[in-house]
Amino acid sequence: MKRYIKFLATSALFILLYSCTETIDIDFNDFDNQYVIEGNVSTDEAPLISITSTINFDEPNEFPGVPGARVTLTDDLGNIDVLDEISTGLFSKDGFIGQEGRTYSLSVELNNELFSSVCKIPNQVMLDSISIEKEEASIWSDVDADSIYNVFVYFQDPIEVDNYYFFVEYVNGEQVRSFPMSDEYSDGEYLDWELHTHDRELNVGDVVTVEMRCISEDVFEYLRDLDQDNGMSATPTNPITNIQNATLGYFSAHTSQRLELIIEE
Amino acid sequence: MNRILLICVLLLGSIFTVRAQNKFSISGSITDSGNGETLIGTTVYLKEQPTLGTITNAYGFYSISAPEDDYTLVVSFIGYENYEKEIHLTSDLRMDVALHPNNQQLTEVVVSSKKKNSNVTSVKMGVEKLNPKDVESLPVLLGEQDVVRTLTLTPGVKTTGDGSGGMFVRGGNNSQNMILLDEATVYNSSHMMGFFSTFNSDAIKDLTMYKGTAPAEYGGRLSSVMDIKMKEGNNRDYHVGGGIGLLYSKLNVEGPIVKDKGSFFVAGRRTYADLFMRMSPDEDINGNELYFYDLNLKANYKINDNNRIYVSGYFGRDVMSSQDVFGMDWGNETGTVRWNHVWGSKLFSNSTFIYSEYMYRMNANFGNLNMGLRSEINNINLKQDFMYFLNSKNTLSFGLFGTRGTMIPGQVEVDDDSTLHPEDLEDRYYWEYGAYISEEWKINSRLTVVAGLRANGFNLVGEGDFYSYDEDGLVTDTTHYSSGENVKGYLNLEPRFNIAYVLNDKNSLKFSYARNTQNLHLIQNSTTSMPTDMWVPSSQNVKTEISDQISGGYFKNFNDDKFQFSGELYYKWMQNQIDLRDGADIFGNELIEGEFLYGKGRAYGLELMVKKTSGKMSGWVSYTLSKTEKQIDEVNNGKWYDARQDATHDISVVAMYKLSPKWDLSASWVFNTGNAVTFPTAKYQANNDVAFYYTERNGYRMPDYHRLDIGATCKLKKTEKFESSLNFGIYNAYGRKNAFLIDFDVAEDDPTRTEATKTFLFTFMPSITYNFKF
Repeated sequence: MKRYIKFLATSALFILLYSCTETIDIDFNDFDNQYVIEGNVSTDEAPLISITSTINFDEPNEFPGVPGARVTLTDDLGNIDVLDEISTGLFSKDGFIGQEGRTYSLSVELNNELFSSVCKIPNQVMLDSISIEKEEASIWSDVDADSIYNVFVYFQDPIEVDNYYFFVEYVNGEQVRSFPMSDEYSDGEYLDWELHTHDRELNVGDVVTVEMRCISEDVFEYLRDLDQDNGMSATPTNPITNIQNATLGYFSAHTSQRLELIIEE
Repeated sequence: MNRILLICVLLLGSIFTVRAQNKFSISGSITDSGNGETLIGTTVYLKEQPTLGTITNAYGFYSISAPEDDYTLVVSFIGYENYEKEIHLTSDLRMDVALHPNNQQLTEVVVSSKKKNSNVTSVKMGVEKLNPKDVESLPVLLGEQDVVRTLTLTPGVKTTGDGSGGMFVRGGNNSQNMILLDEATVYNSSHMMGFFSTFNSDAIKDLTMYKGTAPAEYGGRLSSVMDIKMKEGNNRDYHVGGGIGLLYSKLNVEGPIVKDKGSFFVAGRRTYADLFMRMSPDEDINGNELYFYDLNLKANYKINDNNRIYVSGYFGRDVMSSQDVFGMDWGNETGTVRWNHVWGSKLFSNSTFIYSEYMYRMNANFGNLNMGLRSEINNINLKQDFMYFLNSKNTLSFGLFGTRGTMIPGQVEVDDDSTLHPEDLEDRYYWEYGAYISEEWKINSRLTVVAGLRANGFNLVGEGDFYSYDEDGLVTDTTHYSSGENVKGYLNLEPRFNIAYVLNDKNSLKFSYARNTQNLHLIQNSTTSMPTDMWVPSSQNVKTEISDQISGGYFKNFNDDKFQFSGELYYKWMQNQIDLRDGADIFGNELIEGEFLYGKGRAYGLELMVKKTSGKMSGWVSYTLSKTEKQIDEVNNGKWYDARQDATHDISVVAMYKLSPKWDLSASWVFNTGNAVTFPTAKYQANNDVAFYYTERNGYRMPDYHRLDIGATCKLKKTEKFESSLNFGIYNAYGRKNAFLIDFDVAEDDPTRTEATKTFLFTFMPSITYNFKF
């Protein structure tokens, strides 16, 4: 809903349809490098904690891992797990699966700094089904009219509970896009949400997988603000992290459920 | 502050110590003999006692007091023949004068309509003034001689370039300008993202802008007042004027309702860029609409010498839509009814009823979802103003005002079968009221003082739920107030003080102090001003914005008043300024006040201008050196930082050249330092995507903005009965690609890189307009 309203409110910049663009060089200010911690504990797969770092704007988009951290996960029963560094800056633990309703604490010790966060896995909401529809070309389309498809998700939102969802769309196993959404304006409804995109091409035979995660409110806000990273805002900013002592990154403990379908003629 | 109050009291007290001895007054109104329009700012004086002079007020009325004697009354106004008449003053005299336009002088280029050295001798500073007599010699911008646009080319006024309707006066924000059209507040002052001003120049009789130094009768905004008066219409003959252009056409009709007693004026404009779009074979373009139209209406009737009624209105709409998937329209409406009454020969009264409204409406179709929204802000206003021409040294202005305002944020409407439950934002109601008194005191032939005091009250009232917030912007308490119940009130006293010391008739020094307050706040979450920007009232959380400005200036004329020089310095302190929290969510947010941060601001600068007012070549060069900063505890670690509109250098060069009786040429060039903006400093990876790392707010600059516009006017025909001319113009003549916005993203052709992309709008825009009048 908010996305729609925001979209409406900024659509007044219709004038941009008649504008031109060109790339320019910016003289960037100096900065102190920041660690970026992304932690995910899922009910469906092993946890994955990645530690990377900021890089200069002009460098290629390769974000090397930061090695040497000690990463632990503690649950609200007091079970402590030290994670293994499975590749540089990437931590996991075989056999560790998150439990619905349980609270997890993340702790990262790195170069004498301590970063920590706490997150509770919300109750699961079941994703009933997904469908896909071919879309008519419109002014919003950026790609060929023949290859625009929209994915719909169908599920019952629990009434009188604030629910936050994160839909991740994979095409042939690759994460393509994601949608943080909330039930703020649709509480208790049977929902048929469109994962609205206008610039993603699909072809016959592609396997589309949708993962629905039930996430906590602070993670939802982080992912939403990460999504709205654009040049129009007067106060673009870093999303507010839920990790203490850190500037960038998040820790999400969430449920996970996947459904898939194949694009047909 | 107390000292200033004391001075005000002393000045007001001084009125009653001046004793009148066998003095009589001469009063009346000054009009144009050709069309009956009243003339504002006409000089009226007695030849034998030149210091016993005055200028006509906003309704063309004047009043002079002098001892019993024989005099010669002189009325003079540039562009008109001087009027002289011998009078025998033995009792109060009523002298209404109709001035004859002076065609000889009209062929000269006149930039200032005032007495040649009134810029030096007037007590006003931080003021720019234009009237229709000047229009003939304005530069051509987008095919039109636009009065409002021309005003923004003066020092201390900054526009933010293409595609943003903003105007920034002495470091103030876009929302801190009061725009009055026949006394009605106009909330949104531009059409088509700032490419056209809201006001049809054909309909404007007089325009004055005060850069924070307005007299006490004005209030409600921190930075500036733009006071626009519409034409009344010809009360002798019917006339039709108009223009046909590439972008739009306009038409105006004026004439008598009752000859010499009453007249009307109607003007309208409409753009038709969208008609060209429809001709395009490209489906992406021909299904779009993009146009605006506006209407100005005014009528007046002179009941007798002492009573006159005016009714005026404005209606404007911008419309844009695209292929049934998106539509939006927005605009202002104003209506003003006024009654001028002269009590005796010294007391002039004006009673005003005003309605003004701004609304926007939009709807969109997202395939399976239709949405719509209508939002509005309006106010009803009653005002009573008096001008008391006490004696030759003192003129007193005082008045009362009361406003009822309503803000309707509107409810998002969706299809009946939609699963969305839109939130209904509550309407907000307020009262704003107060009184003012201002006195102009000519202490001697060199020293003039204007001192005034304005009291401004504001009350936010129910019905509704009102919230309190903690430091982090989270709700701590909700209180329900019933209809009309007081939620929060503010009372502010605003002293104003202007002093002019005339060294000789070519040089003067001026000083001014003014406090201004503002209780309606515009929230913008974008780098450009949008029709959807939201107004919020002062409340228990949002406090009255307050500014205190001191300014001083030196004014000099040289070469027989052909050149005017002005240099002004100002320093402004601003309290209770509003900015947004990082990542603020303002659209459709009931708890919007939780997204605000409060701090202070300061602005200071130097403004220089040299103006050539007559001769074949006329125009001006203006330069502003300034700094505008904000300090908010939660932003940039509480350090002072550059406000978005901060511009170190701002230059305007305007030149008009009279090539021949047939051809006029004009050119204007503007330059300003780019806005302060927030750019990312580095990048990182999050959620499988590239994200940007921001280190500080407003730590970067947009590229410098500069642009040259050129224009030419060719008079095709000029007779008593018919006039026509052609305007040619080129906007952005050397095709500068001024940045409208800069965004950062993964390069389209290479996903391993990121790039900064500049969006720019029109680089080179020609225009032709055919104007006629009969």
